[in-house]
Amino acid sequence: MKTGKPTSTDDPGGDGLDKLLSTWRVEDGLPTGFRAGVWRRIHEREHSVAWVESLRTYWIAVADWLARPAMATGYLAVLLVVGALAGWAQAERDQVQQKVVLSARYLQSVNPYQVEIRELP
Amino acid sequence: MKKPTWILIGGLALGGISGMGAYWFQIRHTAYRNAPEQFPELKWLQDEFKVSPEALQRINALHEEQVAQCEEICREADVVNRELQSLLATSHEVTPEIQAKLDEANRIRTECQTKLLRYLFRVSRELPEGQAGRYLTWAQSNVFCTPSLNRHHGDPFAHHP
Repeated sequence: MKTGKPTSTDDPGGDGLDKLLSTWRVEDGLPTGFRAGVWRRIHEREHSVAWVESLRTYWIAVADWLARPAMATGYLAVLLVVGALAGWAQAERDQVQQKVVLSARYLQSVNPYQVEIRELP
Repeated sequence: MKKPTWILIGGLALGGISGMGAYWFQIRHTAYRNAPEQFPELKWLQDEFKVSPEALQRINALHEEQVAQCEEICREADVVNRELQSLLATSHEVTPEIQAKLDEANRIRTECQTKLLRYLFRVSRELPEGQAGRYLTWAQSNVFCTPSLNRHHGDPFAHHP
């Protein structure tokens, strides 16, 4: 930015201040990337709004779907089965792991030279 | 909240509850998880090899005896190993003293393996028919195989019919 500073030799009475101010122009342009930044922020805001909007649309669709008794019953049945299968599978894994630990412990308790411990799955 | 919201949340809760229920139902058969005995590994042995309660009592006595022998062998081996280490700390070759300690360590190991084999055979005689061979195959393959060849993953009995 260029500023013309008045001095006592230019205008001792100070009458030229208005004239000087009228010639004062900002010569620097906008900062680099200012426009791009503005557009980017506008796009981000639009994208964010679109994301929330699409989520809302999905939820409305799901809510409509769940409002139907047959669909709601199916949804509950599926989660019931999925939950039971997941619990059963986890119990199986735990049992195998426990078996490995106890079998290794058994051998170690009767054999002082048993250094190999079976790796846990 | 609206009804669909309740259904959504209720479904997730139902899935969680059914998962916990299935887990509990499946795991409760594994009695050795909370076995109160002195040796919980024997409860595992009972489950794995279908040992009768009477036979388990006899195996428990054998096991107690073997564990006591193991502790004694451990003490002996520890003493010999310490002596061997102190000899090795002051020598850079196999001296007659080091050779003697190695022989002593091997004697203890052989004695230990002999006692272990006797124990395994005595336990196998308490197992039901068909399980004895399975038990001996599994135990001997673990005890006498090279450690690097003795790696199994998952169920330790997957390869032993």
